Amino acid sequence: MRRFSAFSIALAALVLLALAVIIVPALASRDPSQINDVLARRLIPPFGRDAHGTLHLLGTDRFGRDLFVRMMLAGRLSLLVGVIGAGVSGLVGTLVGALAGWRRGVLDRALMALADLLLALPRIVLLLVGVALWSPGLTTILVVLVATGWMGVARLVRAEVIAVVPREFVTAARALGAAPHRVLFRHVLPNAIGPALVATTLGIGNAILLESGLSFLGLGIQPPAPSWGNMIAGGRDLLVTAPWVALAPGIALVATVLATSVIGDEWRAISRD
Amino acid sequence: MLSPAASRSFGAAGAIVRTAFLYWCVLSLTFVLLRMAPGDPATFLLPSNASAADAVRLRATLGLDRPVAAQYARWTGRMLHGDLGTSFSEGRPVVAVIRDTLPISLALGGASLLLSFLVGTIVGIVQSARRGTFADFTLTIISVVLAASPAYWLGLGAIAVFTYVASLLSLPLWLRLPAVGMTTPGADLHDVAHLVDLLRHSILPVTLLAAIGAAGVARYVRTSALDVLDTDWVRTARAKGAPERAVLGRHLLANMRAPLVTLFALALPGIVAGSVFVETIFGWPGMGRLMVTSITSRDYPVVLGCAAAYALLVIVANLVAESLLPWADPRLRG
Repeated sequence: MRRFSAFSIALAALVLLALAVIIVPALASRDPSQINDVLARRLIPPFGRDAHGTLHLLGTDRFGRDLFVRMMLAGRLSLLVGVIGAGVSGLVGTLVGALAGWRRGVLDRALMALADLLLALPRIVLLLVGVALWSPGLTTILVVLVATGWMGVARLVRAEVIAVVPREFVTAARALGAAPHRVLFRHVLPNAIGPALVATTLGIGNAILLESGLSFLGLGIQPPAPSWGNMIAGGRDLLVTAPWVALAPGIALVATVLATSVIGDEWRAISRD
Repeated sequence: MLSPAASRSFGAAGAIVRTAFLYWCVLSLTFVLLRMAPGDPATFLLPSNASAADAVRLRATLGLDRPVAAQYARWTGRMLHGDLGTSFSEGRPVVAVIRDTLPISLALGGASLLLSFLVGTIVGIVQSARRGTFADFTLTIISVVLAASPAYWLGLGAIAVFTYVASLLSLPLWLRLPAVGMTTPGADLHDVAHLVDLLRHSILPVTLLAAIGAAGVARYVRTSALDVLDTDWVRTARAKGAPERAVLGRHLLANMRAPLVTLFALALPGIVAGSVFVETIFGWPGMGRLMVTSITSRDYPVVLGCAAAYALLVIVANLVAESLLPWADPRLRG
């Protein structure tokens, strides 16, 4: 029962966040990246009103921009990076793993050797090399996240495919004359994909953390575009005078990553029972 | 990492040869990445203020006007001589720059890794022994939240608490920990005083890295320990009337060695990632911070050199873990 409720709370939190990041910036009265009347608006504490009487739920940053709206805009980006980064990694990993486990032989060894090679480098190091050689930005981050994120899923799917192939329903499908791609995609993969889905879900939080880290270092999403990472970086020298600037996006980041990891963990536990 | 079966058939020498081959592949990957990056590799390897004549000269020196195969052979030759190029910003060999920063990262990461294993193992075993209690639940929540928190954000929080909040509450001076750098700048300290100064500076970064690491270790140890506690031999030991201390100390710990050795290799990349941020936040002149500053200053040879050094660390850790596995798990001795 507790397992079920932790799962539902996390899922509800994520759905709520997804709705908020879509709706809130659309309802904002001012363009959140626009800077005007800085003196009247800058560093308003949470729940405070600026000199124009506008309420700022989470306060404002040093340029007088509303933190709540910026946080939700940044949330769009983070959720996008998390879902696309982990989702495409999972897809690539599933295809590579299925191919390796299905074909075996030289192809299998070559693909797994490539996975070993990429696993030998810590992911953050590969990301740093990526943004060093290409220019920092959303595309670079997504490409490098996918290039460095498929190996775990590929290994899982490969192991599952190898375990499923000798089972009787696969032999039966073959005996009935199903084409190889049909056997693989209709009979083998649906029975081999469970762990990959869990790993991909857990990968969402990881991708969000990596993106925010790069943005914090100034090597990811470039200001004025908001990202939780570069918003925290913007609050770095305001820790004493305006702690909410770094606190709010950090809490959003931790809550999002926490929710995805709870969903992944609980899902794994449920599928194991 | 090699499969246990492969290790058995190749032996220790085979494992080392395969590890060396893997490392050579990683180094080749840096060559490929540099070639794949948009633009001429010469522009990557030249400082931004270089002239067109410099570019032509460098292309000739690097042999970039020759076929790719010849370039690769030449590059391999330089690697075999331990030549990773020259840093733009410092004008020194990359190997020398890394030699200055690597010990700092190793000390920071090593201390944190040790602490996180010590604390994480104890916490995980206590949790598994008290499964389902309030303490277990609380510790699980703490470790899950820590694992979801970015190191740099926790670091900023720690700095704010131990400097500003500590002075606000007028806590004693020894509780106001230094937040930036490895030593007090300008203070000409020696021997014991210097060591104390260094230790005080390392409390925040090491504790932070260790806490994040310990959270991961504790979660892993708890799960593995619960698997062991559910086995028949543990039930037999308890049925014999063995005290709980003996069950945990003898039966559980002996069976936890192999998972812990595997975790050691798995935990290293996390410590590396954490140290990149922690060194940046706390201003420690280690390799993680070097890599970040080199990217900002477009010092490509140093960036690739750091990547190569990190890969070497991870690969060696994997090799060590793999050679320790037969010691940890007698079933793997062939």
